[in-house]
Amino acid sequence: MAILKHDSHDLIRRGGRSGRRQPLSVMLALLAFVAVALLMLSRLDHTYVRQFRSYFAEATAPVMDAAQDYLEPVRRAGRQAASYVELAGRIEELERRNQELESWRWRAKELERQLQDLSRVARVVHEEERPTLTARVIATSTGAFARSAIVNAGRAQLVRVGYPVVNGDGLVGRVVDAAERTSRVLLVTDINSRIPVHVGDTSVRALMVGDNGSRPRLTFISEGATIAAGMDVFTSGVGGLFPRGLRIGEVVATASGFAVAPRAALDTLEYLSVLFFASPALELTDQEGGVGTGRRAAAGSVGTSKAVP
Amino acid sequence: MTTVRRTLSPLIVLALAVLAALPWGLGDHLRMLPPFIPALAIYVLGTERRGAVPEMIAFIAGLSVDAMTQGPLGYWGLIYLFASFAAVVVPPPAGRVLAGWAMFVPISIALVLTAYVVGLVYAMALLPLAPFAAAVVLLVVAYPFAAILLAPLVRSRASPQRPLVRGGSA
Repeated sequence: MAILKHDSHDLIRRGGRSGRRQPLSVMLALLAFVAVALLMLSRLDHTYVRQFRSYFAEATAPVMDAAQDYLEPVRRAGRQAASYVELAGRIEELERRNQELESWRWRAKELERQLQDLSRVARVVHEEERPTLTARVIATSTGAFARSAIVNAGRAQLVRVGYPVVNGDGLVGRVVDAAERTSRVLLVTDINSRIPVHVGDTSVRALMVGDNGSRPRLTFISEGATIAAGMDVFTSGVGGLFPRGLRIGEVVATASGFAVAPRAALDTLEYLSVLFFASPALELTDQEGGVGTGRRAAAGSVGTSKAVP
Repeated sequence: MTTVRRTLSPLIVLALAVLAALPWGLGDHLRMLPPFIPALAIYVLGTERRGAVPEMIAFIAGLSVDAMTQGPLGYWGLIYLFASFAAVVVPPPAGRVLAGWAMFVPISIALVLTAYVVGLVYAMALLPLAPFAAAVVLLVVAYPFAAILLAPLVRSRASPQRPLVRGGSA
């Protein structure tokens, strides 16, 4: 201030840039070190890291939920804008599919009638109805490392680790972490996802392996089996984690072999249904959930379809 | 700096961190963009006024994004610290958005490249380049909007970011 007071020639002013480099803050270096240490712990998949993520997701769930409510008009406007762009193409495609489905509907009715007749003759035991729970996606993984989604239903709603998760289009993934009011769903495209599948009408066995891309690869295809692009892919039920016959998508040919184009739009998930699939494998995937939880759900305490508000 | 200005910048960054984790329904190529938006805000606010976004806030915002997106903890924390560091070391010329924009191009490349390399080392596998490349382009496009919208929030006439120099222009 003393310099400014006696600077009658106005030689010193504000503006320009300092020639001197700013010193590196100690705090910055310390935090960078902490970040690297946390990255290493994450790489080791330390229990504390998993617990922190779980607690954090639980604590921020109300904030995310509220934020989504406020931003829903923005998201809807964005979706509408995007859909207008591809509207003409979609109408044409839908008309073609509608014609195709009309002929299939007639055939399906005929097959249903035949199936009922045969079931009556063979005295087939009907598969019990599987309860579901509809939950809202409150966060998704946006980075390069994981493909997962957080839903606003957890152990309080009887969700357990291992339950399959679907939406109207087909299989989306399975629950890998369940906190009290939130759960993490590992999507079928995640690098850690491995799902035994059947391909086509002949039910060729294969393994669908996620690679963090948009199309999981098909590996371990049965020897001598013929697979072609366009064939349907659905869960085989092998291993007991998923029920048999959940629709996933269709085969697409890639440069390195075959992949699956999921039917569900995994980038635009909003509401998901958790299937209360009480399999024996559940006791291995979810040891915290208690033996009775899955059975209680299956017994109907959850209802055949329930939505989390 | 008034209390409002002091608290506004961290609040903006933390709010953007929450928004980055929301399911926006962006395609596969654009999925890296939302977490880079807080980094852009940290850079713009930090260049306008040193200390507008304290390093601790940048780190907490990054850690929040990591936790909410179920990514490795510390990843976005590190990237946001890098943005904070870049704002201090290579500030754009004061008051000139176009020159700042030109200067931001190499900074955004460096920022995204750092994210890619850290990801590469962490995953020990090649990551798809397209989402990172798209992030660079969109960050560069978003810079002038961020500079015009965010900078006035922390700007003051006698900014310490514009130090006293002999013979400087008014």
